Amino acid sequence: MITFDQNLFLWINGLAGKFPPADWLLRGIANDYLAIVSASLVLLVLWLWGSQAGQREKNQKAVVTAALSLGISQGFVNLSNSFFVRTRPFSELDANVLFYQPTDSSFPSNSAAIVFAVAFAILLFNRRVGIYLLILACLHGFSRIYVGIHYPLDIVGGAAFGGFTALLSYGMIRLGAPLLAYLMALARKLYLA
Amino acid sequence: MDKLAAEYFYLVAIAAIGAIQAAAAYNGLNGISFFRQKVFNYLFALLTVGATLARLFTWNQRNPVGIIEGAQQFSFFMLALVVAIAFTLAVSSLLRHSALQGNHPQHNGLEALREITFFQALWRRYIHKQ
Repeated sequence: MITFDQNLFLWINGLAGKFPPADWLLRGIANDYLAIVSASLVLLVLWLWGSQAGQREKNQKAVVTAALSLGISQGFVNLSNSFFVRTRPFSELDANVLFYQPTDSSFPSNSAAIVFAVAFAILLFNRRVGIYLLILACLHGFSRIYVGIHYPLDIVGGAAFGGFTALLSYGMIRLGAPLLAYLMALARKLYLA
Repeated sequence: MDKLAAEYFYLVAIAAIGAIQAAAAYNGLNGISFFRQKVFNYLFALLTVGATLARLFTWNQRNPVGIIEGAQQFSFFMLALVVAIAFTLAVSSLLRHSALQGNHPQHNGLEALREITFFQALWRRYIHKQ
């Protein structure tokens, strides 16, 4: 498994440096801020989205689930990092590094976990927007391997963390429906929901 | 606040203001739109969100080793979001005050902001009850 992961990393990362426009594009997508801020802006837009109150309410429920999923995923990533540390690929293999060299654990990818946590949570409520976010998450994950800072398994791990926390958040939102309804009613009184 | 964190804060706040304007225009939330004509809202959103995403895209080219620690990033993101929402509600309430003054909303919550501004809604609900 580890050997396959390393070989797949070497193949994907081996593409780096061969086509400068692709390097430029994927280095931009790989950074810690672009994908996360983009996904968060989608959540902000979704909060306001809907031609009717019922549709908007459903979207707002999706946003709350996604925010919860994001928060829980970070808790799981921190927990995982305190028990298990995986060395970055550029420290073990002859990698083409197009990015700054992070020092924290390679597994799971923190930024991938965030974007996948948001994407999967939205997918449970809104298929179309969820698919757009999943494409963004996959592109971000691929770019992190391409620039040499993550193994493929780190991204798959991040996606698994994100998927699990999305389902967990969905369950929590269903269980806590009365509390959510109360908070939404409060926000409606302040014209914020 | 260090330089990188400040830049991140400004970028998120500007992008959030633009994103709210696009969503408000598309969904007919006139009370939180800056402009009467939808096309200006879209143009504003395109400029602000586009410029911000371009700056974020080039972040590591401009700051090769510049990163913001996770917890700090989260704090600045939330702060920027609150500032963007407060700015939008205040500015739209001032800009659209006279245009929406005589309206009487039929709905509660965000739906009411199709017809009146945020300050007008608060005023009617909590101060000058109607």
